[in-house]
Amino acid sequence: MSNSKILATAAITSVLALGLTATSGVMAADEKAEMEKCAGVVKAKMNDCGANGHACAGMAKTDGDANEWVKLPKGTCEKLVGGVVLEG
Amino acid sequence: MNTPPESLKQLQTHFSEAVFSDQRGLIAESVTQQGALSAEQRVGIYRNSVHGILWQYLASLYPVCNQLVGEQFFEGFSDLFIDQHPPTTPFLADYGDGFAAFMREHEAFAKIRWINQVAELEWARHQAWHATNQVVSDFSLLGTLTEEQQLSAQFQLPDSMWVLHSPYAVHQVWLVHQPEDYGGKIPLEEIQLQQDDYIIVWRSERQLQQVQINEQQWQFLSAVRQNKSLAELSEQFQEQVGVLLASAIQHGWIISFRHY
Repeated sequence: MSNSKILATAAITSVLALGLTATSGVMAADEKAEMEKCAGVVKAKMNDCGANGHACAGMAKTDGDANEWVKLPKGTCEKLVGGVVLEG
Repeated sequence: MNTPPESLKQLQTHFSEAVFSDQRGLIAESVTQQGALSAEQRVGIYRNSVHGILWQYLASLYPVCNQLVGEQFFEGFSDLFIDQHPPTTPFLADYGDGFAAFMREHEAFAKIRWINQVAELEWARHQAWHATNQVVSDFSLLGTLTEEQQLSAQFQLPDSMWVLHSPYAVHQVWLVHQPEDYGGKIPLEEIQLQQDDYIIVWRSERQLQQVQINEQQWQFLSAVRQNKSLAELSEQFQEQVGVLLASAIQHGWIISFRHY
């Protein structure tokens, strides 16, 4: 076995020792849950899209602003204090 | 779809020239004068409005550069940039590419080259935020591959990842200008500006990440980005390849693999 092969095998062993599986939380496109816009619950800088006179995601200035929204799986928003489902 | 009449195309061209330059004469011929404002002044309102929006947008993209050069200079410099680089797509998030390069070419920055490096970092953060999500591989499947398949394996960084190298300490400069209490922040006067900085920026779900790495990690991630196989990575990084690969996967710097 060449040196590279030994090193490569050892590298794979190191990765397997981490015990990782594909549960890191990034969903495949075809597994996406139905989403809805939820306002009033977003932390500053965590908003999804333009509102409040700014153009971008991540530009909300205050926590819990009633005009800032974030997309959440359908049904989640109504369970949150201050959460208001937006149309569209 | 009908082709617009030449006169409409001309009108649009003249309007665009008026918005993105001082050439307001041609469009003014098509505008009625009313009240105290001349036709050219009325067109100027549109120019100021478009410039104002784009300048504010650039200031939001490059907040540290804005602080470094001062708002007044930033606004003036943005005006120059906007005239020479008007938006080319209807999607605002695409706008602002080339701002760092524009800084690099401008004589005002000849002796403060490090500021355009900060701009490159800020652009990387913006792009990383807007990158798409991807599926994460099940890395335990590496154990099921044959030896040949393992050697041919190639690894992928997140689409959002930017692997940066700067001859200046731009990460520390960026850090010290953040209002939040980030760890590792040191006072501006203690930053040694001229030192190599290796930085990665990526988005992990809804969190933008920015981390300083060492030169070897930077070389490793750059090699991964070049689609080098595990055999090639092993050849290049020798005994370090196991630690570098496992650490990159653990931190989410490598999210998937393929083999042949």
